Amino acid sequence: MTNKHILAGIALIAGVAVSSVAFAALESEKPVTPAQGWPHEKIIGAHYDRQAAQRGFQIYKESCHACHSLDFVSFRQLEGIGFSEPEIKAIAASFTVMGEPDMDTGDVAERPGQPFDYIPAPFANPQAAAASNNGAVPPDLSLMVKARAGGASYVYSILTGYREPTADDLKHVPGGKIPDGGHFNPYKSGHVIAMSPPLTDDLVTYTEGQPAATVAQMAYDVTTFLAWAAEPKLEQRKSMGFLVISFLLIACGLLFFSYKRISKRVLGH
Amino acid sequence: MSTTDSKSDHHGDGVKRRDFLFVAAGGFGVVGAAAAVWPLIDNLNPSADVLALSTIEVDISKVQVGQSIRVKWRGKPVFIRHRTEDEVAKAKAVDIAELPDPQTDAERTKPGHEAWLVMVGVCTHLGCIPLGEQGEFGGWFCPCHGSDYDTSGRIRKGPAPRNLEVPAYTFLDDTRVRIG
Amino acid sequence: MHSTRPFEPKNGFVKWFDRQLPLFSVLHGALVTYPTPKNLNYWWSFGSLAGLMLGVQIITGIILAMHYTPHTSMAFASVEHIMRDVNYGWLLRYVHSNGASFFFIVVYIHIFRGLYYGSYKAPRELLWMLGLVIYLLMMATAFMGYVLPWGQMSFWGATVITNLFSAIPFIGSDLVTLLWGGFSVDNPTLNRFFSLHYLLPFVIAAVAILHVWALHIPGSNNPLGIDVKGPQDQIDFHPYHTAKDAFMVSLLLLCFFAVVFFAPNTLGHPDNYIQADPLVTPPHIVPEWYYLPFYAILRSIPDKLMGVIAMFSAILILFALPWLDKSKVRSGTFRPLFKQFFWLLVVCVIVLGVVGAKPAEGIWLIVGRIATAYYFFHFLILLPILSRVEKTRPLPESISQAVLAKHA
Repeated sequence: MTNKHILAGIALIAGVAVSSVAFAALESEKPVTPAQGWPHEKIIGAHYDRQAAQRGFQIYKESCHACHSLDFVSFRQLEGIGFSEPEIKAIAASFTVMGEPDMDTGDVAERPGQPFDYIPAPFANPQAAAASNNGAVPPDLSLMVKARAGGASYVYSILTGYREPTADDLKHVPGGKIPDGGHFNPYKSGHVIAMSPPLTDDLVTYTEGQPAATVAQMAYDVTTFLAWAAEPKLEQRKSMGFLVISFLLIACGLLFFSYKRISKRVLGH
Repeated sequence: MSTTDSKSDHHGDGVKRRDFLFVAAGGFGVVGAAAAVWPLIDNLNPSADVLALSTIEVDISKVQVGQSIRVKWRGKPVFIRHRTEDEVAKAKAVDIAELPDPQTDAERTKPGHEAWLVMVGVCTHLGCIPLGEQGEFGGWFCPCHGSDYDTSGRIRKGPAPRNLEVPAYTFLDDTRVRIG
Repeated sequence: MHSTRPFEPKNGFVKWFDRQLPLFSVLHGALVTYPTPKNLNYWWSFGSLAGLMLGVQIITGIILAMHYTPHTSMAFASVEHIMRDVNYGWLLRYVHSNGASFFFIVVYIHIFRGLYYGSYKAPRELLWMLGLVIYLLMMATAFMGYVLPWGQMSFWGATVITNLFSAIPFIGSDLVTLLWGGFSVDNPTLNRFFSLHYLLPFVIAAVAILHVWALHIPGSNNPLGIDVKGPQDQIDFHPYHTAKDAFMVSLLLLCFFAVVFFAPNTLGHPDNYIQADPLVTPPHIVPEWYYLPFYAILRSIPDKLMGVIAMFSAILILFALPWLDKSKVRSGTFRPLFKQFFWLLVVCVIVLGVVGAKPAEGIWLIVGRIATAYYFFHFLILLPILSRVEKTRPLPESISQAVLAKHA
């Protein structure tokens, strides 16, 4: 077990790893993290920015929801980003959901949503979604932040990364040109995305006292909301984790010294 | 063993300190194990989606006098009966002293809404669902073991020990009831 | 010094019970008075740790099965139900999914410890082979467990791996149809995988009991690899090893929970948070990390059938290891050449792991082929030759003598 060999092995592995990173960089640009950072990605004191998440929900409701479903989020869960019970009732009631069959006639009619309902999907089925969107089904957003390498920063980068491709950019695009209905986005693998730029300045009207609705601000807000939607138990997980790790660190110390003492007693060293 | 013990004492490892270390380590083990058991038990309790459905609102505007509806609440049927005046009168006329589970009709209804009877439709004997407007007392009759309930849902005859359970409910207005 | 006193219970019930069924005697013999060489190092704790991880997986698995629905239309949603609605469901699921990884980490360390110190050699060949059976069962169990969440990687992983069997001549495609219960991975496949994923851990537990039984006949090997000469070379399992293992358990749990609470999705693949879509294949299908070296071997052989044979052989040749390496000296400590090649093997397996995660093209294909060649060369050619020609260093007289010399 000489150190020389271990070092040689580590060097070899490091070399392989570095070359793999260089290889990956050709595929798409590395996602950028917004200047504010993501408070939910902190290790200690991780939390979702509730104001941002509530604004993000507003953007989702008024804009994204036209195409994207959010299948695994129910209205009652919005408590998690700080909406009060009356607010949740009002939000739920502002959506229409399919009701239960009528007692007498069996007819199924739409009714206003209730807190226990899930956010209704904009399209009845994937075929209908594809038909309305140039053949590309807009993906469900419930787990989007966890379903992409790069997480929140990736989603933020996609939302803010649209630009007119330069000649140099087009070299990264398969076939050298943007296909019909496609848009250039350097963060997307293949650099072409079917979704047209979803955010423009002042797309939504924020309430009094909130920041200006710039593209960057809205991208930050809606990504915060989607990060929460993907992992609603994150705050509970990390705060519990802090306790568990502290507990185990002390337990480790106690058990190590107990072991050493027993070793001394049994083996004499 | 004894020789090594005395040897370690020479090194200044007093008995008390050694005991404290082992007790602390053992204590941490017990606390850790106990804490680990809780998630293994608590997950068996109702989950958030189940709890969210534990309150329902029912529209009773279409239920005519003498009709009843059944709604599902917490996985069980709830009978909502719009009683006739005759049924109410019969329920009120009973001498509660002779009932197995004494309760006045007023205790089983809401003031101002005496015509409405809201009950969990599960026989208090062994959990079957009684049939409405049947039996000797014109109320409910359980076909499983022959329990007979009156027009207030009170047990009158048969093996069931208690009256049909009245859930917590409120009238939001004259046509809407919230159960739970 | 190891105590030879027999088990003498004081409790009346234990006495009565033990007379009719010596369960307590057996447990006492295994956990208290089991004689162990007094020079075991920390690497010997990983057997206990593997047992712990098996327990964690079985307990969390039984509970998750109470909340999970094995149906293609509901599996993905039921996992999200666990993550969002079930009390502590997120914790149980993250413990179970990362628990699989940590079970493999512990078992890989356990296997490489055995490889370095020659624990597979006589009189422990059967012990080694039972361990390999556990390892194979773990691979099967983990593979089927990964299918259950019904994400994209679940579905396409299942498709690719079951398709391996189509390489078998004549019966291949019929066999795959049989495995699937249809013409593609679909609901019948998910149902049978769920059933087997629930069953196999108990088979693993049974083989693990045999593994421990087979260990207790010859007793543990040790870092010097020499036989125990008498009770002066041994100590009781308790309290020394119970205390040592308890410390190692806390260390393992520290690493494990750091991942569970702060990086629970690092070892998983983002694509598995996309519901399975039989019409869209993800750009890169990557198995879970613990299969990557074997996946790399599979892909480095250009022929389909030969690739499958090579992949399975990579594990199966380990069964022959006790007869491939015939050196009388067990421990790598006294085998200067073997030691160097052992580390080369470690690097080779890690390189194969890295290659397995990369697209099979360009430089990766070449690196993968070299590493694959070395893997087989190591076991099939190098070890038999080494065991004949290597000049080993002199072995110490006895364990207690070596321990004394070390701490003099």
